[in-house]
Amino acid sequence: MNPKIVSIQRKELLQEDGMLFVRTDGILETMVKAPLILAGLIVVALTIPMQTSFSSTRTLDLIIQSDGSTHISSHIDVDSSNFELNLFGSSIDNFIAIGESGSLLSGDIIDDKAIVDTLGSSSITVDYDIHDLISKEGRVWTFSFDSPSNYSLLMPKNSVIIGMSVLPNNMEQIDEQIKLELFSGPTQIDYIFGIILESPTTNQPEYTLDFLTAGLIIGPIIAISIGAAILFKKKQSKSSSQVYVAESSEKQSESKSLDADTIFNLRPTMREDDKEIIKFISENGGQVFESDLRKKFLQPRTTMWRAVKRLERLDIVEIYKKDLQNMVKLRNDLEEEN
Amino acid sequence: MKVIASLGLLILMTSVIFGNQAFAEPLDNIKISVSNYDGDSATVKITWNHDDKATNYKIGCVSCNPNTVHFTTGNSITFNNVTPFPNGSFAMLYVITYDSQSEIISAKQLIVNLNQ
Repeated sequence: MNPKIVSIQRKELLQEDGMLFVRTDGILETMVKAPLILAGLIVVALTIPMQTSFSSTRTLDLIIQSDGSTHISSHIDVDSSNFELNLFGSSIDNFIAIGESGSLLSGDIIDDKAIVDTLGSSSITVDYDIHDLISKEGRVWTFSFDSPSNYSLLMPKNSVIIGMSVLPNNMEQIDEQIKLELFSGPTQIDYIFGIILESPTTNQPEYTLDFLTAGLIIGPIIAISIGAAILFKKKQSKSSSQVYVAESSEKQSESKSLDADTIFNLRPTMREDDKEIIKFISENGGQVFESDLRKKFLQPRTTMWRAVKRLERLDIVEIYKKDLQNMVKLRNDLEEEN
Repeated sequence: MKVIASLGLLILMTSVIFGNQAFAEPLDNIKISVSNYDGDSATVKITWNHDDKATNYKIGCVSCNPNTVHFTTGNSITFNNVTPFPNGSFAMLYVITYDSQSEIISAKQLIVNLNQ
C-alpha cells in the first residue's frame, strides 16, 4: 500500500510513447496576423503624412532679380485639400497661391513651409520671392540652389556669369538676359554685373598727349579754322560782289533814272505827299531804303509801306530786297499814263 | 546758312573720325574668331579695344568643364579647348577689366557659336 506518485502529465506523455504534441492552430493564426497588423500600421503611418504632402512639380521657374532676391514660380499637382509646400528658404515675401480656376488660395507660411488650402484644386500655382538663394562677396554674387526637379533660371539684366558648378541642359539669350535650363540637384552660379555705373576712385591719371587726345583736340580746331576761312572767303566774295552790284546799280540809276519833274509830268494826278517822297528819292541817287524814307518823313512803318506800294502800283518805283531791307528805286522806264 | 551748315558738318565729321576711338569705353569693341572646331572643342581668339584705365584683364570660360580662367595685360587672348554647353555649339565666356587698384571697371559676357 505505498502508491507510487506519478504526475498525470507525465503519465500522459508516457502513454504517448514520449512524443510532444503542440497545438498549432493558434500559432499559425498569430504568425499570419502579426505581420499583417504590422504592415497595416506601417501603411497607416506612411499614409498620414502623404495625405498632406503628396505632390509633383510640373514646372519650376526662377528669376534672379538685380537686388539679390529670387522670384520663384511653380506649377504643382496636388492631391489633398491642405497642401504642405516645402519652400526653398525661410525669407519669403509676396507669397501667392492660385488654384486651377484662377482663384486666390489662402496659405500660411511657417518657417520654410507653406500650408495651402487648395479648395479642391488638383493643381496650384505658387509665386513668391525668396532671399535665401543669393549671397554676395565683394562684387561677386553667388546663386546656390538644390532643386528637387529640373528648372529654368533667368539671370538678371547685364549680369555676367563667371562660374557654374554644373552645366545647363540648355541656354538661350533673351534680350540682355540669359536663361538657363538646369537639372535637379545642387547648383552654384557666380555672376557679376557688367556695367559698373560708379567709376572706381583711382589716382588721377597722368596726363599724356597721345595720338587720340591730340586728334580730339586738334581735329575740331582744324575744322573750325577751315570753316572760319571758308566763311571769311565767302563773306569777302559776297561783299565785293555786293559792292560791285551796288556800284553798278548806282551808276545805272545815276545814268538812267528819271528826274522828279519828268515823273510828275508823266503822273500828274499824284498825291502831294507822294511827290515829296519821289523828290527825296531822286535827290538821293534814285534809290533809298524804305527805312530812310520813314526817318525822313517821320511816318510809321505801315503808312510809309502803303505809300511805297502805291508808287509801285503807279509804276513809278520798284521795290527790292537789299541787306534784308526794302530798297525803293525810281523806275527808268516810266511811261505816260493812259 | 549754307556756310554754317557746312561748318557744322565738318566739325561733326572731324569729331567722329578723330574722336570715336577715344570715347570708346573698355570692352566696347570686342572681336572674336573661332578656329579648329571639331565638334567638341575649339580655339577662340578674343581681341578688345585698348583702354588706358584698364591694367589687367580676366578672361574665363564658363561652359568649359571645369571652368577655366586666364589673365592678361594685353588686348587679346587665345583660348584653346573651349567647349560648348551640352546639346549645342554655344560656348559662354567672359572678359573683365580691372584697373590698377584691382577694381572691376567693366565686364562682358560672350556667347560664342563655335560652329561658325
